[in-house]
Amino acid sequence: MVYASGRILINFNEQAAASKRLGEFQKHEGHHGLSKEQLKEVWELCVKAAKKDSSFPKQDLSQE
Amino acid sequence: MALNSCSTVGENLGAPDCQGRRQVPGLIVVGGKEFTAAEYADSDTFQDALLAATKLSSGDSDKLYAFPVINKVTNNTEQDSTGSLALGPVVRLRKGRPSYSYVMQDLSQAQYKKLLSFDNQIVPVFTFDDASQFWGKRDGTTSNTTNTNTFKGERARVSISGNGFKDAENVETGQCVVTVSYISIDDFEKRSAFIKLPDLSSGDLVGLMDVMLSEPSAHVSNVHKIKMTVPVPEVNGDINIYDTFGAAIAALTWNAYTGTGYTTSLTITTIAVDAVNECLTVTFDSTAYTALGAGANIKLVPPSVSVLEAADVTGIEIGYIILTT
Repeated sequence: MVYASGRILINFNEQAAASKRLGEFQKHEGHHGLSKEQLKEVWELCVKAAKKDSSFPKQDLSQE
Repeated sequence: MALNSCSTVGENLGAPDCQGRRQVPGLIVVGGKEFTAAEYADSDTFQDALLAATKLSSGDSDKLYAFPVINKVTNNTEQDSTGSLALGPVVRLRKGRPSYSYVMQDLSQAQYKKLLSFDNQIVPVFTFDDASQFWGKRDGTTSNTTNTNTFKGERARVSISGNGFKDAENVETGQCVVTVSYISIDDFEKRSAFIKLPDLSSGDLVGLMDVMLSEPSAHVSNVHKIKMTVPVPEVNGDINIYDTFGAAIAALTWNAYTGTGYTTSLTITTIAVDAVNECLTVTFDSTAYTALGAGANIKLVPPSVSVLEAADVTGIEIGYIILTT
């Protein structure tokens, strides 16, 4: 999934993002210069996209 | 019945009007592609297959390489060897072997260096002439059978030389000369075949530029900076493709592998543009990366030519890079 805003363009690996809990994702992708809220939004979109693959396990969105 | 064996000599000499013959070469195309009967069924289908073959990734045995346009043709074909007895007729002892030299004018040093990869190699060669005929060879077939054999290049030894300094006296001095010497006279004469391509222009067949990946700065843990450049002989002249294609390439899928033979996938979590350093930021899965330990090798594989073309990133092929953790 590609996140683009101004001079920022980041291609997120949906499966990789969805395999992490939100807090872990925010920590490991913190070097891109996105806010925690932006990363949360991206993570939710990645999880949604990954869930379209019926074999992918369900993620707990509330965990940090 | 006549007492001779003339019935076994020769064959009918009639031939259809307007069938083609070799004209003046304008372009040669080199490579192992063998066009099937379905691909040469008509000129449009063949032309599509030809263009597709020039856009395959390196290492594909079907890839075709279009050489630069030919600006001068010299026929180096040997004279037939002949001999005669004092009172006898001139007898041809051996046919001269076909060979041609092509001058490709004013090639850059960068392009000449690329051509040298074909120097002294025996390769299949297709020739596109000024009558829009694309020449190659097709193997023979048994009697009473429609020939559906593949259409392929004619095997020849290719040599590349020249591109030195000019002398201000002669246009030809210092130009690149490509010599094509055909291996088999028999194939050249008996198995030659062609297809008419009235819609093909030599400018339609342009080679891909090689893009090299490098690390402009040391990586920080699992985050690597990757620069994409076209190396050139001009010192400090390497061309950074970031401005033209950076965002488009960052949006495509890259792959990474580790282990013996680089067969184990390593997850790339993000690829981002770095507008400040004009490169890409490639982030690997931190858990898997850490587990590799220090000094492990990672093969980072960029999108293939077909994926790049589909994303309108045209005219380039990006090579892989081996990173170290």
